[in-house]
Amino acid sequence: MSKSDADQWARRPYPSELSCDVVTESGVFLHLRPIRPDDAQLLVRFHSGLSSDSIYRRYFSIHPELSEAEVRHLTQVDYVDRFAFVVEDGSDLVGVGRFDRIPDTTEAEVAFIVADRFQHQGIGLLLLDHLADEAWSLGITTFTAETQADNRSMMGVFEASGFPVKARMEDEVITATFEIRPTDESRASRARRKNRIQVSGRRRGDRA
Amino acid sequence: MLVVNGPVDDAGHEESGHPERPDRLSAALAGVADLHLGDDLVEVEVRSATRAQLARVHETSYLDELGAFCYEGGGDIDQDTYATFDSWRIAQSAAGAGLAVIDELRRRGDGVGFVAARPPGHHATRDRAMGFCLLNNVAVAAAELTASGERVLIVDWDVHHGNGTQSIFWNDPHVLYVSTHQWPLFPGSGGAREIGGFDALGRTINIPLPAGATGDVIERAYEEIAAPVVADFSPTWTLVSAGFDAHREDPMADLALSSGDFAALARSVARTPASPGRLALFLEGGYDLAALRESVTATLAATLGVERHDEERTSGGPGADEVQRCASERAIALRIAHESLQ
Repeated sequence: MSKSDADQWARRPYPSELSCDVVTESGVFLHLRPIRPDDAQLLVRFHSGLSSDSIYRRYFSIHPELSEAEVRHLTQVDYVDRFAFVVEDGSDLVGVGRFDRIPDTTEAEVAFIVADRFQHQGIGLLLLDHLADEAWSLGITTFTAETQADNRSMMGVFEASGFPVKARMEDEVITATFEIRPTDESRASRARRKNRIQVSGRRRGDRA
Repeated sequence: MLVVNGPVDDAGHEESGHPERPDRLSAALAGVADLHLGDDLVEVEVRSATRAQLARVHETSYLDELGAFCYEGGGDIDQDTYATFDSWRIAQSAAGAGLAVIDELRRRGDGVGFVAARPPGHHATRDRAMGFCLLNNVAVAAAELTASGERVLIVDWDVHHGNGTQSIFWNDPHVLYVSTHQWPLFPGSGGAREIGGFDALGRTINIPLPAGATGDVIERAYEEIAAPVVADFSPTWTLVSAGFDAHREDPMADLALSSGDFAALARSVARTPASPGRLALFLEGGYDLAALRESVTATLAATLGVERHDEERTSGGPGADEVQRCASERAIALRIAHESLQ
């Protein structure tokens, strides 16, 4: 997949300015950047390394392999209504987060998945922060997410974000809805987390 | 053989200054450790109760509301009852702890069960959290048993009336609910005339007692009012809502029991089941940590037949008249109910 293919899908140039380096509390350096169409192979490898439990929580089904169409859909985003960030550890993906605008609304569905060995290190929150910032700048005001009622980790990420989460539970599926307008609480939550996962002050885009 | 649930990670269910706090569970577990049971202590892994198991005793709409409330960050449900972000998970584990202990007892066909978990459960109704309780742990276990054809006796010696358990099984002839409690006191229910619904007349026994009542009064009440009904009911399982807030040191109420009294109650309860391996005690209230710890030890030792020097039993408190009145009020209520059925 070449860059020119990506451009067919994108409605704005690849936003390389949104890339940044992060370091986890345990000292691992990671890189966060918007997804690219040529991430297809990385994404397939990432998906195949996930535990069935993680996959089930993300997709609500046993979903061991992504189809070609799914991979295309997941990697070819327009960076306006459909957006995804990946987190890389060297040449491996360790997390993917995305939002999909609900057509003709200011609402988007948000989802993220983190490699099992990198869970509980603040990467879900990191993805959510960056997704929310980008979505807000694109005119999206509200995120919704569906997850299983026992998916404490994902609900924990929303709770920790400081956004005012509204939850609805039905038949063991929980729907979380929250406005992503930056609030005092969400800013305070981010400030507290600076200790846990550090984002380097310099973004990759700055170097260009 | 004592069968206890493995750790329930309850640390996230806490509100600053609230008496229903994680230290309570630590005290209860210290009470278990004080028995020094060695190989006679079996710990079983806890799984969360499933929605289907919870739905036997709770409205699914209530489960959804409670789960969503917690995931929104929780807060105060009423003046007494709180939930946190983690409370939904912890309450599911607490209910699951009871099921795990029952499962293990059934598998072994022997032993006594102790469910050391929180939040407590006996005030939780089908559709409402109250009195520090979110999910009704003992009711979830009892319903699991009746679903497989068992007849379940629930003895509730917590100082408060277990209104949730009573209401859940109000019309269920397969459950006999027996409660001794201080009255008047929260939640206000539990009068002698509350005897069960038309399908289960007499299957609810309430013995309200005045402040200051001692162990001899409670024991007599069990013998005179409950024992004949229990014998007639012939339970195949006995579950105890074992709150220890009727202890004289407890700050929440004014009954005057000692840990030795709980041991005596436990001995009489342990004689009830038709066969061994069918008795489990569920931690409910108990807010003085030292009294809780000592009472857990004394109670479990009594059910296991372990000899120990218990705190002296208490006697001479008020309540004998109330027990007599309770017996006659109950008889009148039963007669009126039966007449209205004819």
